[in-house]
Amino acid sequence: MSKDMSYEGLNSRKNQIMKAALQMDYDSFELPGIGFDYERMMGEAGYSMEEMQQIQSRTGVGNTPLLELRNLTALARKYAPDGKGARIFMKDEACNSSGSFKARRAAISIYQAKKLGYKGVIAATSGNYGAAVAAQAAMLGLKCIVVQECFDSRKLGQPEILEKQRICECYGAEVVQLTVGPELFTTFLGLLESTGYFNASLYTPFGIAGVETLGYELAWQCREMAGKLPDTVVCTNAGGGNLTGTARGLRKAGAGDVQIVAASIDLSGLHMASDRDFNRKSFTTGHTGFGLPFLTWPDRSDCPRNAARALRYADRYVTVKQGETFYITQALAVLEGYERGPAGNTSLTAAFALAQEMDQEQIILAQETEYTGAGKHPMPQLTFAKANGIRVSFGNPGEEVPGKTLVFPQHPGMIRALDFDLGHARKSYVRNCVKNYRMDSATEEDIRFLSEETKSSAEFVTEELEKLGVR
Amino acid sequence: MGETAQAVTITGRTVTGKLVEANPRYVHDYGDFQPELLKIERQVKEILFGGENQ
Repeated sequence: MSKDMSYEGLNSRKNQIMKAALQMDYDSFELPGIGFDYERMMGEAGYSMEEMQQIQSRTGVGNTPLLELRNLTALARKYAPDGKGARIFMKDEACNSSGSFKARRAAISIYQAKKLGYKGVIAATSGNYGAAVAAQAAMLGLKCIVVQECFDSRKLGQPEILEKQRICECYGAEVVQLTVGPELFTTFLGLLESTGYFNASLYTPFGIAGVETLGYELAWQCREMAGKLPDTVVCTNAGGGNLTGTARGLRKAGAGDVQIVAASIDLSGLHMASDRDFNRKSFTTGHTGFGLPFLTWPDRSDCPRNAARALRYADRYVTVKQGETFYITQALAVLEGYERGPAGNTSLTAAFALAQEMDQEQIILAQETEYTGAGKHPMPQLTFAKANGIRVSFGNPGEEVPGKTLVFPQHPGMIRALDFDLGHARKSYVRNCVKNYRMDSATEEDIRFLSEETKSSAEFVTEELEKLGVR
Repeated sequence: MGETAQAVTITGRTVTGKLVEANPRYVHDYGDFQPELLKIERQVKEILFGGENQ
């Protein structure tokens, strides 16, 4: 008898499919009430920092250069008040195998798949993670399927995603391309079930622990290069894994006091599930369309509990504009000699603005770059934007309207990192929790979990819960 | 073309569907030259290193 492959059918078997595809019993981490034991789940990844470094070094991952960007620092100081303008550093993650920090996540995940005896791996991603999974699977001799949301209903593909298709195929993966819509998750579930492959989700403890080496590494490199830790580390934020892993790695390197700033491209007003909006954005990741929903409710991912929980670690959240990030991408190429992908420069754009608030002897570090190439480069993205009716001009980037205009700053002094209020995000998280768990009462354990989740006090949580009628 | 076809993927799966394209080419590229990027280049160089004659 054939199985019911409809949305309802697959969804009803979701838990057993997931269990078989990860061999991890998420139920065992659940606490009575709403919480779960996050640290125990992360411990379940079962690899020490040294083991992860070893695993990664065998497949061309890690030990990427840390660079001081002296010309960009000098440019920022032109606009900073006297004595201000921190030194800007950049961790050149494009030097990893497959060209991005995502290789760190894939390396641990695919190693685990191999260890458990799976014949292949599947990931649902339109981003650099697909390339990372494909390359790591190739190295360990596993089959690989990447499922991506690629086209709008006219079968017009975002150039950046088309490039990801090419590179995944280049590394020997099968790429299943879909139009925008809910079929992504059911196709993914269906493939997991029919192939019996490992779920190389971005959000398993393995995927997140793999990034810890990045935070760990940069702390030691910065100590060596500059004789001290960075004051601020800026992480491009989408699903939250980059920030979570980096912050955890910094703590393990004894650098828990370093300020962690999340940075996303402002795509407010664009709907991620909209067929029309899909091809009206020039950045397919690192943007608020992923960043904010995942921040305020991480457990919307493709595994039962998401190991990426940015709200636990972020000290500040800022947004930058598409036009500003293209500007800095171009400046990085012509002033520093590094041609890197635009989405990965989101954190650098924020760092350029934030450096101007900091003292000259301080250090601000953008912890990521990504490879660039056809499709994922300012030129094809601007060509594509113009073809889709986006008006491109120079002016005040603050007036950029995502999906309608793209505004380059009139001069680099106009580049701003705008604060998104984390207090607001914390309240949203509590509200989402109350709604999703239909909470009408809270135990002390629930409150402790919520205060860890939101990096805030028990008083704050209790007060928010009371406002929502939960006692 | 336009008919139902069967294909064996690189992972060995057999898939069936309507054939809309055979061996499609990668269509993405480096796009058209964008004068805005040249303007940014000139601007940042001038701010840091002075005008063209210096």
